[in-house]
Amino acid sequence: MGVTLAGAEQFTEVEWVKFLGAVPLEVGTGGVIMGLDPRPVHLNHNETVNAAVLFGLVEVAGAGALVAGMLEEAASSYIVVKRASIEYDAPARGELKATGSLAPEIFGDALAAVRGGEPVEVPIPVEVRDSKGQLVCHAEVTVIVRPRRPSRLGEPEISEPELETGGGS
Amino acid sequence: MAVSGGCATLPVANFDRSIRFYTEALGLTLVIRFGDEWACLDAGNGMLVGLIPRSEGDSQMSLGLCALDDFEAAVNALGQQGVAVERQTEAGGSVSLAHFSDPDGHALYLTNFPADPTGRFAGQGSDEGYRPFFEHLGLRWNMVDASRVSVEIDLRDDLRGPAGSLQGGVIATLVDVAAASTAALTGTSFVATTDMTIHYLAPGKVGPVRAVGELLRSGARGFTVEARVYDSGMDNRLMAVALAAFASLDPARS
Repeated sequence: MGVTLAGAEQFTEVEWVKFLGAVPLEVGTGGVIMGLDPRPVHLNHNETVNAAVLFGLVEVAGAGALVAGMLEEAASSYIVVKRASIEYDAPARGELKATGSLAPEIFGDALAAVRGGEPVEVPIPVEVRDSKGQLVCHAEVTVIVRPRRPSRLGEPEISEPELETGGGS
Repeated sequence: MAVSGGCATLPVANFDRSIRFYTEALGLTLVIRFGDEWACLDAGNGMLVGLIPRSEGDSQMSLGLCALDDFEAAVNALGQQGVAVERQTEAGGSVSLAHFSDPDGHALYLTNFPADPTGRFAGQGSDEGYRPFFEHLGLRWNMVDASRVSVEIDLRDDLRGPAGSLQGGVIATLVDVAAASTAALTGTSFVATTDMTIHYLAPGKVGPVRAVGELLRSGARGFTVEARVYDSGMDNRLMAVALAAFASLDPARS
């Protein structure tokens, strides 16, 4: 994965991502690694990271993995998480890394479709590991990218990229 | 005898009226409400107030003590200490109560059910069981019926994504908490999420957003719960459907 953080502010400027404290460590074409250093507000009574916080981290890494390689196209598209499924493998403690990555051919097909003005639906595998490299959870996040619909009369076209999780399709 | 937490318990004639009094006039926080069967309010600094329906000739306040690990052993321990259990009752199929009195005749009861089954406020003074994550989000619990719990959140601006709808991670939190709280209706003390799948159907735009958990299966070691998420401010539009599985961390079930 190429180490390119340009344009990564898309991932970090969302309030929810700020609350999570998820930061992009590596951003490249078809992949992203998001880091999370859990704060006390993220923890359960037993000092493990709350399951929903992990879910949020996974969604950000999954959507980011697709968007990272098509920032220009993303600016004129609507991007939304349609479905996410997660399995928790071990209690999560300490610093975490969430890796979302796509096979080059899958990313290439998605990019070609988006450039051609076609909507795409892409399932993206995500793994979260702790600082010892132990797998704490794995997931599949399905992301939709579709061209922005023409604005209705009186409604301004939004010029900023929309990166949304949980918005429905 | 191992006791962990409890609350002052007041029989009330009208749940809506009493909850309004304690939340609006006195400023307590409603932690959870199970219909007109049980409500728990937080007065701060570890003080919990429980409300139960008042029956004919029963208006006395009682002190509830939770014996979560081994209820029967706790009841037996009372007997060994010379304390007479006056009667034992059950509620909802999973809640057991043993009623007794102190030397001055004050009413007390032991129960196997925590005053706050979400664990949100349990042991807050010692940090054990305290969930700052939930506090930050401002989650509110309510009981729909004997097998369903709902958890609600206001759609604050800091919880919206760039397009203005509720972030998926927050929806996942609602699902997880509503489903776990529903699993807790079985009387288990703590659960751990083992897997969860969410299908997002529509964006959350107005709020409050409400997740309703429904217990599908309760086994010896785990639970399966379905959760549906609605945007109350959009005529209860269905936003998401989820399935979550939990493992029981309750030693009594393993």
